[in-house]
Amino acid sequence: MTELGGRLLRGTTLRVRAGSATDVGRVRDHNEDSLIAEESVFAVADGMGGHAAGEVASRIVIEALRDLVAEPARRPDDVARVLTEANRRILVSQHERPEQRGMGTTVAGLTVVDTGGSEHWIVFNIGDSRVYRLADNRMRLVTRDHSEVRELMDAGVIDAAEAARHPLRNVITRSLGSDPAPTPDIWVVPPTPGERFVVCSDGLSGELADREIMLIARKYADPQIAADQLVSAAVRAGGRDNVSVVVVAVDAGEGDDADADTAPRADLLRP
Amino acid sequence: VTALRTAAHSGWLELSGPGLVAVVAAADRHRGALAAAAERGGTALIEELGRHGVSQMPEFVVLVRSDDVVRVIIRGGGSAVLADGTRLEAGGRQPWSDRDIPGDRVGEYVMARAAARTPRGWRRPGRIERPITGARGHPEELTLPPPEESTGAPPAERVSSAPPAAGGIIASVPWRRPGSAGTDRSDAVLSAGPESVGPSAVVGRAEPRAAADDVPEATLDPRPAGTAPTGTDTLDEPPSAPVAGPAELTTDRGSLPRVDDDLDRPVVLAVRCPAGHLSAPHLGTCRSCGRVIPPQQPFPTPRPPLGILHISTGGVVPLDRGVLVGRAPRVNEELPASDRPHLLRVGGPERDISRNHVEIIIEGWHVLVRDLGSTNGTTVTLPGQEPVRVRPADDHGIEPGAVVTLADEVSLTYEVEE
Repeated sequence: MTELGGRLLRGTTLRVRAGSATDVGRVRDHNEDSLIAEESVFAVADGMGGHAAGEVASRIVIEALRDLVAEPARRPDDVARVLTEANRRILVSQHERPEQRGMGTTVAGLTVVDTGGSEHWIVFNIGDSRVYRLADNRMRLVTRDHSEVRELMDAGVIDAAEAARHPLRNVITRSLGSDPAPTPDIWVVPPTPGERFVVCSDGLSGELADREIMLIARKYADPQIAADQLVSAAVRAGGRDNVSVVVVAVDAGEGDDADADTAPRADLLRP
Repeated sequence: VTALRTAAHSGWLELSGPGLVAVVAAADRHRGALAAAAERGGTALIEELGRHGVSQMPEFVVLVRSDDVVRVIIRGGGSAVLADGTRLEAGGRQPWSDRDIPGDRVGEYVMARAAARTPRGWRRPGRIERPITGARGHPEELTLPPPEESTGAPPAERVSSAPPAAGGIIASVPWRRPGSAGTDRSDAVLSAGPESVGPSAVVGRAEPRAAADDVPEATLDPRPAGTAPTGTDTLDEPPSAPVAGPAELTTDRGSLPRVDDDLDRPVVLAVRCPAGHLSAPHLGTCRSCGRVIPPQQPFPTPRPPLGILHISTGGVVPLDRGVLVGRAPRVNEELPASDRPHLLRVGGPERDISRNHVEIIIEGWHVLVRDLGSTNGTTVTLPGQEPVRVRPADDHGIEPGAVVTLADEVSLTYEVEE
């Protein structure tokens, strides 16, 4: 290891590095996505609304999340609280500027919380931006889209192929900018060595098959190059929407022996 | 005299006022404002519906009776059905269609009907058509050839507490109005004379599946709680055919507002205390604040977080989902995201705590502790009681104040926060 870089997760020997990239795509004339990849806050927001209001909404939620860089979440609820505050700011902005009426944004990402003696990830999302996790040569979608087609698929009404061309595929069922504030989905998960996260707007997941995302995300050791390559692949594939990607890599340090066997203790009760 | 009726289903509100009835595709939280406007008449109702601008108006069907004429105003996919079966629709007319039907043509009644199935949510404006690639579905499992050594412990086996997918979308709709069970189908027909109808008169079956499965101890009375329906409309297109529906539902909804009833979280039956907290129906006092809960009809609602686990080594985990606790917890990744628990890593280098040591399971309003065959065991201490050793794979119910101790090293305290 020459240059380690990145940030050490407290209570672990794991090192976190990240890269990010965004592109307006080939069709849109402005980029309504916003993203953050700083210290321990990694997120993508996909704004919606005319007259450039989408960018305003997505920027508001990213700026709100930036507060977690200076003051990390002390409990998982803090992330929900920050997102509720972002929602409030969007509503205020809507109220003050009529042209921003109806603007909204998705958000998906991860940040850290100190819990149980070490830093854990908090994965969160509202809307159809996604967090994938790659580990052990597999990639899984960690988040669950808040979208009409995902609900139809869960109900067994349509399958994945139908979902891709379904007329309701752009309808999201939760978004920031609504009253009352949406409830984010949140998962607490411990970081594990070797894992990678891909946080993306639907400009990536709608343009590339999951398998393509996985292959590119694991191909490049440097998460910045991986993010760049993912975005340019999505643009090459059509670029019908803004594309934003954050890649987070968790690298093993030395002495991480979580997988060692549990030591039995003689002084404890046996069943 | 021509009767005015309504027929709606989940996602639509039924409203009435002097000489008018309406169905509106709006979330229940708008009911108060819309009902008040309806009391002031058709114009006031339209004005309230257009409060955020014409382009933001929800779908609606409004029927207003005056003298010998029934005025029919339709926006979006709803319809008005006359006694002889004639159907009136907006037919794409923007921002709405508005016509007067002579009383002699209307016959004995006219009914405002919700669209067969309304897409909830927000169609993103100006979204470009996507290619038909299948790229956007759920990921299949993506696996590459494994490396030489396959690392890691086998995933924790876990019995999903979620009920099996029940009967398609409609059966999974959790939202029903408090105090009145809704109906799956749009067969709640109201005889809507101005004298008789308020929202509370809606009757129908209780939500059959989701709630019943989630709250095993709750008794769902399948019979109507109030008066019986005055009649059953012959539906010319069953709304329980969502597959066929969406294709027709795509036009002219670009700017309709979101109806954000949340179908994503598990549904439980609940009662509300004076401070607004939700509790299980069988409780006499609020689980959060201890206030006496007044008698009321339990209603289905997305389950609120049941509290937190306070961890002795620092931090908390919310009980909005289950929690898998261990030295290196791993979850069965086959589980859908909604069923996946929080994963909590605890324990020091002494390795007293097993990789997957204990699981906190949430079922309905119950919090259960399951030892996953840990090497050094788990004890549960209920408030005011002696510690009890949890037998492996034996679900042990806990209450607020209970302490779960892993290998005598780390403890988790179940707390309810107000």
